Amino acid sequence: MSERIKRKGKIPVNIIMLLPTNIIILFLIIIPTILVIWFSLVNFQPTFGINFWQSKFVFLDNYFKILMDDEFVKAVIRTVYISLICLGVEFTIGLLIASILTGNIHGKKILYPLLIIPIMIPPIVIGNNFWLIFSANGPVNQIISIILNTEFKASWFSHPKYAIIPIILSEIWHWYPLTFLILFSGLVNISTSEIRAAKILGATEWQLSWRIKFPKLKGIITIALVIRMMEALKVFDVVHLLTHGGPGTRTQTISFYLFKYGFKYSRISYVSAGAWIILFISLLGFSLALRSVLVERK
Amino acid sequence: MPALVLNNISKRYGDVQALDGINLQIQDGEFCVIVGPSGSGKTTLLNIIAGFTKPDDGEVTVDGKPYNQLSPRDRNIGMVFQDIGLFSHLTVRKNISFGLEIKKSSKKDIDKRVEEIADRLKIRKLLDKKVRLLSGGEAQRVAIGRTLITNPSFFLFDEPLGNLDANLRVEMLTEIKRLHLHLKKTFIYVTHDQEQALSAASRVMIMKDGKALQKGPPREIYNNPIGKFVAEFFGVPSMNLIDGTIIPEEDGSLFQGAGLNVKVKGYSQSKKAEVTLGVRPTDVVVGNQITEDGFGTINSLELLGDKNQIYLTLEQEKSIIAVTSPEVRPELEERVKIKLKENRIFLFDRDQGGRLYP
Ligand SMILES: Nc1ncnc2c1ncn2[C@@H]1O[C@H](COP(=O)(O)OP(=O)(O)OP(=O)(O)O)[C@@H](O)[C@H]1O
Ligand SMILES: [Mg+2]
Repeated sequence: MSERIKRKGKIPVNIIMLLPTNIIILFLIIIPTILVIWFSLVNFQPTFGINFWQSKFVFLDNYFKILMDDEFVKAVIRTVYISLICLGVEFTIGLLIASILTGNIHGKKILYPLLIIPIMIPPIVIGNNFWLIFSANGPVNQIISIILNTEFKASWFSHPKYAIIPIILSEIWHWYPLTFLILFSGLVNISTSEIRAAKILGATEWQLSWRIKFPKLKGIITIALVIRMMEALKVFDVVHLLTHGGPGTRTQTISFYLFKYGFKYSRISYVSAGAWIILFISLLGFSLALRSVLVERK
Repeated sequence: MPALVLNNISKRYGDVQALDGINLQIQDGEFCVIVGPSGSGKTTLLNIIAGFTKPDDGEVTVDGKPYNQLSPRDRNIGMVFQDIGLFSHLTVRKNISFGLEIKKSSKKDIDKRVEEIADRLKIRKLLDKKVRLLSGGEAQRVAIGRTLITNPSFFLFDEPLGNLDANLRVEMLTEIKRLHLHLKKTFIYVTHDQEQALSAASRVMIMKDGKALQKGPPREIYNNPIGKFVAEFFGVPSMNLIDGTIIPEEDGSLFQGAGLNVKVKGYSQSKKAEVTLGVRPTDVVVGNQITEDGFGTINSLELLGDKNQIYLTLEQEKSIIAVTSPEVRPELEERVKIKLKENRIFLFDRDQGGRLYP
């Protein structure tokens, strides 16, 4: 096929067909990527009034500077910490619901759509909801008041320690359907005969889970973790809506940090270097995680 | 005392009556074969015995103990599933040892037992293979090995539908029969192939549409089918069934159909009736020196060495099969005389399928 096309001496059809996509990729991904590499190596700030191609080349200076920045390092650690908590809780919830739904229970058909509603709601709505829920006169404070039997009026979003709680909770609520769905699809795909074989050989529910279900779900769990982790590392919307990274910089995440320094303080070169560092670390982590799955397959 | 008693088991799935009042008593150490067409409820019955499915009605009793409330893990049953269901993430060795490992037996015991079983089933070389790589026959051996390890008091086998060829099925059955002789445990074997059932079983149950049509030793069912369905289903090649009319005569009746006039001496009734005549291929005599019941044209001929299988066409395009001794060698397209052995004829009600004679 391709032989014949070449012999005609014209542009091969396959190249023409791929051209539009390639042009889009070029402008949306390749050029920006090259630009960000360049930005991270020069000292470019739009407010300086110097064009980026004329900016001073500083090589790895930006990288060293941002790695020494306590605020950046703390934002990275905080993001990882938020992500890990979210992942842990979401997996527990997701697995629990998935296990319950694979059993014989009534009303499954109503439960499925109800359970995956959160993932379909735009982040801005979720942010505003949680803002209302945790506001001074919101339901959370009122419920605590009833439990403690005294008036309780915490301002959650400005508390140096607890401001992170609404952020984590809203993230969990928003994203648990993803892990639930992935785990559920894995669970229902385990063949009935295998489960029955284990049961009739005398396996308890625990042994069934540990020896049959989890080992079989290992691959799919890793993939779910990677997908969810990628999302978690980018957490921005709720931070922006609920706390603005505050009080001070106490709830600042990576995305929020980069946004603040990039767009508010116009330190484009500085955040470009930060973005590359994050990308590099994530790629390393994810490829290690996925490799364990791929090795398993062989 | 019977080892296993099924008492009036019924199960419904929506509009489908999967099982309809099944009664069965299986003696300790018996080899019982269940046959029936696809969808007749065989797997459903095994699942109820194993405890995976709750019957709507009826009960399962083992050694006098009611089993209905017992979970599968407490029933001490070994089962080979229709789709085999090996643990696909484990090796053959781990599949076989599973039943002991979850009981926390010592590693030495487990290894010893696994090797014993592997030797018996001739799968020692496969022990460290991933089960994904096994052939159909090997997978089935492993599945049998997996059930052996816990020493169950009886075994359920659900024969796979498609993934074993006929030779392999026979080989597998021989293997399982050997196992049965050695273990002396109760076996229930589901198959689609009645030829196997005939040779293997001490007892056969024939199922159709969730009902047990007939139970008994295979020879008895073969010689004495209770109705048209069992007669045709049980036996290879199938019984010839010829639709026709029965006419009363002074001494018995005369059957007319597809150009045949067959005297049925033992059967007498007062008026004409539409019936189906049944005769086993081995009871159709083909030749020239006989007083014929009718004529047939030789359609094709299979010389099988110890016997000949002859395909004949009667009038009205009716095809029948005759199995004869090897000396009978008619030519193709030849018109031959046919005689049905008188005392080997069955008459069935044409619509209801019930047996009228003998
Ligand atoms: N879980 C189920 N839900 C609904 N219908 C079912 C279920 N299990 C079985 N049936 C129905 O019950 C009937 C008997 O099914 P069963 O699997 O027992 O047949 P079978 O004799 O094992 O057939 P085969 O020889 O094809 O394996 C079928 O009509 C089937 O569709
Ligand atoms: Mg079946």
